[in-house]
Amino acid sequence: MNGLPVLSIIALAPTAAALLILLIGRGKQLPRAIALVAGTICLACAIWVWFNYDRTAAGMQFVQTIPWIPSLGIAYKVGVDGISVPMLMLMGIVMFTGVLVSWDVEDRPREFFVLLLLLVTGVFGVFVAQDAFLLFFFYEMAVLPMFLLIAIWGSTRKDYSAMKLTLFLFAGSAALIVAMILIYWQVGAHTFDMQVWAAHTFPATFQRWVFLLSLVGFGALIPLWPLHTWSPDGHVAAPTAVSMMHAGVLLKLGAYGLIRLGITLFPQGLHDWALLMAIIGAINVVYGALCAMSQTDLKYVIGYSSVSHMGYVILGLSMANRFGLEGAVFQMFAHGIMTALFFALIGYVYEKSHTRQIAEISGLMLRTPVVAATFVIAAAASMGLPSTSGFVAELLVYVGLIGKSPLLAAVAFVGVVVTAAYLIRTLTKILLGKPSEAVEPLVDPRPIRMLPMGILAFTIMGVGLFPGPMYETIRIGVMPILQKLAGG
Amino acid sequence: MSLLSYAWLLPVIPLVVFAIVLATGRKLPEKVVYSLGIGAMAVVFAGSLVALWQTSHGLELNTSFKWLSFGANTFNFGMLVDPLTATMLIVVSFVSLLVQLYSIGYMHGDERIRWFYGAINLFSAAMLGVVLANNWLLMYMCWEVMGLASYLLIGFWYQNADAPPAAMKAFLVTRFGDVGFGLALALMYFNFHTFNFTSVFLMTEMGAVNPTVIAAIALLFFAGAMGKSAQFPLHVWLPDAMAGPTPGSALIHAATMVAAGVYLVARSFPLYEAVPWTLLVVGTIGTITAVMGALIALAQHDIKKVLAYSTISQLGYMFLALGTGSWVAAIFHLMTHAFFKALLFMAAGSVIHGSGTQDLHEMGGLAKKMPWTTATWVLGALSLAGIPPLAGFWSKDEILLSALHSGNYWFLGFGLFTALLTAFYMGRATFLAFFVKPGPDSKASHAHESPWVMTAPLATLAVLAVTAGLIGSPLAGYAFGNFMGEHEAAEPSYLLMAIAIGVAVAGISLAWGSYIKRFFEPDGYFKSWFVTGPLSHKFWIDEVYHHGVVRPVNAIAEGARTADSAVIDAIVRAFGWVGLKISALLAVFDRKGVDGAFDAFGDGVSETGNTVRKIQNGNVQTYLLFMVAAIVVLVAVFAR
Amino acid sequence: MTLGLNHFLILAAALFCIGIFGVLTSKSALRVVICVELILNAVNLNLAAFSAYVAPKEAVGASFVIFLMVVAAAEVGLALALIITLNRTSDISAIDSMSRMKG
Repeated sequence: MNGLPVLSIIALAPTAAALLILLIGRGKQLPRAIALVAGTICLACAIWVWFNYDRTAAGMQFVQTIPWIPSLGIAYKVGVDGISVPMLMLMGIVMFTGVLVSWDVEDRPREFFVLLLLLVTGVFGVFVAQDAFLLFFFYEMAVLPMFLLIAIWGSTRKDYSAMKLTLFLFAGSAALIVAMILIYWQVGAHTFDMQVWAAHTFPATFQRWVFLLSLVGFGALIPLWPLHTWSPDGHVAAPTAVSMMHAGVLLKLGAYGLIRLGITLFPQGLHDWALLMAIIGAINVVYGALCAMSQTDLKYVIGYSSVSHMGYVILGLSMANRFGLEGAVFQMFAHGIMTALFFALIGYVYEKSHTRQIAEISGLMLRTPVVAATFVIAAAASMGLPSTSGFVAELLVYVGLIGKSPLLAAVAFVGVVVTAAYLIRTLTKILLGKPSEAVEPLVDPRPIRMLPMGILAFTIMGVGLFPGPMYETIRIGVMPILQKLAGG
Repeated sequence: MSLLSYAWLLPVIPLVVFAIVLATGRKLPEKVVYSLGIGAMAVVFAGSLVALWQTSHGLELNTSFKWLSFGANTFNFGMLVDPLTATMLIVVSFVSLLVQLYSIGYMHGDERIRWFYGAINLFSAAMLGVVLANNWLLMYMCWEVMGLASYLLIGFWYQNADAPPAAMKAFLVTRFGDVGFGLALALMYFNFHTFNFTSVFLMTEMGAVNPTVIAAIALLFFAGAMGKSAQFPLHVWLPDAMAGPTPGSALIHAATMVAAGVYLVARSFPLYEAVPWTLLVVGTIGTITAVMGALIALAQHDIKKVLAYSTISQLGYMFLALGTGSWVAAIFHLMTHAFFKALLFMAAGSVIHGSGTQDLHEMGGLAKKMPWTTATWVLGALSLAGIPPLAGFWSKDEILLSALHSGNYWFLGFGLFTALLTAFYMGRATFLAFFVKPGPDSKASHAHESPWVMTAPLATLAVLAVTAGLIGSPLAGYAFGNFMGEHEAAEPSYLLMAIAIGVAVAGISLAWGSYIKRFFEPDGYFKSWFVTGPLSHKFWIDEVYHHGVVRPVNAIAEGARTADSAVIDAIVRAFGWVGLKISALLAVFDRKGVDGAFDAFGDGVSETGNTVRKIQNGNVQTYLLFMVAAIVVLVAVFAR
Repeated sequence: MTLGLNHFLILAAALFCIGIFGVLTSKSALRVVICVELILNAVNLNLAAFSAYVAPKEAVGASFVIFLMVVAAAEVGLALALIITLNRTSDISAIDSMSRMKG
């Protein structure tokens, strides 16, 4: 299997599947079957990459290069390192479970799966692209289907949310294009190859301002406070599978891009803006948690909790030390899985009870014990309770934080307490008590709908109890960046 | 040694039981479930006895296995079995065993009894994990699982209106303390690069780490302990936690989990010793809690609430002991307290089971109806009040002695004062429930004795509540202290012993005088401002939290949400609005200027089109005719 | 008298003119199609003749003829299908009454 261009398979299999669905995918059964096959292929390849990535050799692996627009130095170049590999795993899992969650989509299933698969291609593409132009190409490819998916299959204020999301992301993209072109001219090597870019040393002023562009551009996606308001609205409006990918993976595209095109290229720029980033990160954590606390819609609670949790990623990155960076990447993975699980669960409850109002849901524990137990696992990860993946991530971030800025650590800890408060309050309300009217018809899902929740919960616990391999991979991925930070 | 290396099985066995219960749901018959639970705990108890026996022969276990390469060092998880751990193992497994036995009777007929056993086993596994861990990280992991299990058990009867909020409160308040624990872990890792007990103590001893950092870590650990062990001001969750089933309260909220904080501080004791002023903090908080808990207990009507505040007070006592520098005395009291308080809770459960009420004023005269319960309760109460030679006397004496020797007479004085209050409120509860003549609201007439599955564990615990103290007494040559590794026993002070006995007797006599002989009018006492004011309002601490924390946080959260939609979103919308206006302006220009020119041009084109279109009559043959004609013309012109 | 290239060309021109005349004047759509075939075959004849007389070795024209025949067959099929459909839907076969494409 060594000769196989496995990364290209991951990135392009969903597109191929989308085309296939367009050609022959009639009815309800066929599109979802094809999508599931594509999901299985991607997940299998991601797992294969996970096990075959040579952790002793480190660096970029499975590289494949095909010239694309040679006159501009643009190439189709893919490869993975220790940061991409966990992201591929994350996307593989979220995508596979996302397809399963959408198993019962009734409304135009064919178009739904086509768009979903295009979105998946975009996300996978970003994670494997090693050419800045290619990365940007895939990035935009992920945004467009998102708009349609929310605007057509969404709920609550879907047009507004879809539009808001798209405008924010395109505004971010505009900053990114400028940054990219500036870097391209500055390097002057007639190439978009990010490894070549990374080897270049940029002048200090250039670093300062272009890093800011990158921070704003990708920050809109992370989402960085105060550019975050699109994100909860988007989560809420989107259909379940899209919420899962949106919160689970799309937000990570921002952080991933910031690492690739911000921190790796401009260590000096990071130093210049670290304090601002750290403060904004702390605001994200606390502010997001506070906003989540006063929400009445379950999806909004989780939407704002994403804002809060992504704050740890920003905090970790801004610390620019080993634990901070490792914790940030770990948190990207951990949050992706936990939030996907949350949305899968809420999607299921909403589908059956037709309400997401916390006030109208209670007594899930009695009606659907398995769903309730899974809720507890997701909440435990979200609160950063030990033996879940969330704990390892938060611990790493805090170790990074406490060494550099105990004050910020203390501020962020307020966020932890508030997080525990809103989650336990929500859980107590919806799980305990007598089953409410809306909850009455609920039963535990049948196996194919249970499977995604099972996979996600299992991942949370598995990574939480045995974080070794994941941590090791991330450590290898972060190492070159650390060296650059130390040198720059 | 060989047997000790199987110690990891101890927490795994109840965990497996939990997993089985979780996986099978309602499929297993009730009998199978509780036999499983009890059988498993019996095995664990046997294992704990082996561990005790082995450690008493000087064997210890400290093994590790790699969990994670964390930073530069590999990070290990492992087990530590030493005398302290062995003692805790015995306490936990024994109380858990008896509680599960007792629950057969108490929980009989509850449709979710399987889940109850599942949660109890989950809790036991976590607690065993806490005491077996050889590092703080593993301990923290089990610690949080323990909190989760406690949440589940408090919220067990979630149909009742008070259970869900109580569960939530318990989780939140303890979580608040645990945040300190977590911060301590981060701080520790950053400074020590390990979580292992032995390594950290070694580095502390060598002075490798700044004492300020050590103090910070120690105090943060103590914050975690305060949450779990319900110390002032984080004690508010424990009384509410009584909403759960009584056997669960006996195990978790009286005997074991709440004592985990004491264990944590005792286990981390070298850190505190390195910076002695931290011990003063611990002792002060403990003293405040001890006095406050005992005072509030005076004014409670609910038999479980009396016990809950008594637990808070006694836990404060243990921290007082830690504060005087004697962790052995604290653990000794932890052990005896576990036995007699579990006994009292289970006896209270038996009373509730038999009489159907929790209110002391609706009881009375139960002694005749429930002889076994009464007898065991009285033994437990005497033990708690500190009457020799019962267990509570010896352990309390150790603490007072340690306070005396430490020279901190504040601790000693308040300790004695608490002992007086304790004797009084226990006397009050005992007389009101069992001995006074039933009042008009009494439900005692229907009361009946509980089945033997409930009374047998009571009797067993009663034996321990009487005898367990002897092993740490001067009579047995301070066997307990020696076992723990404290070789020079403190000089016993017979004067202090006499004073302690006098105080206990005084307290009980006062209660006897008030409630049986009516020398004093209890009604008058209950109308005094001190009782109706601070005591029955629990010093307004709940209110302070409500107005000082809960409401402001909610208000801030509400504010943040409003800000999010009103300010930030408004700015976003303002940008959109400005954009729209600009585009509208441009649109006007477009229509009048650019469009005007285009329109003129377009009109011309369309006029021409209108004239020419008539040729297009839709008949194919006409078109062909034009074509042929055109070809003929072209040929004529070009083919010369 | 031997047959020369010119004979073939004259024949083809005649066929072509007949075809054009037919196309322009026929009322029946079927007859139009038949006349179109005449035009095509006139072209075929020209190609074959040029092939045989000008460059007999390469047979380029001959192969074009084969192609054109295939195209013609396809065209007839299509035209017939159109006519039948028109007939069914609007009940007309007279081509001069089809003027829906009027501009």
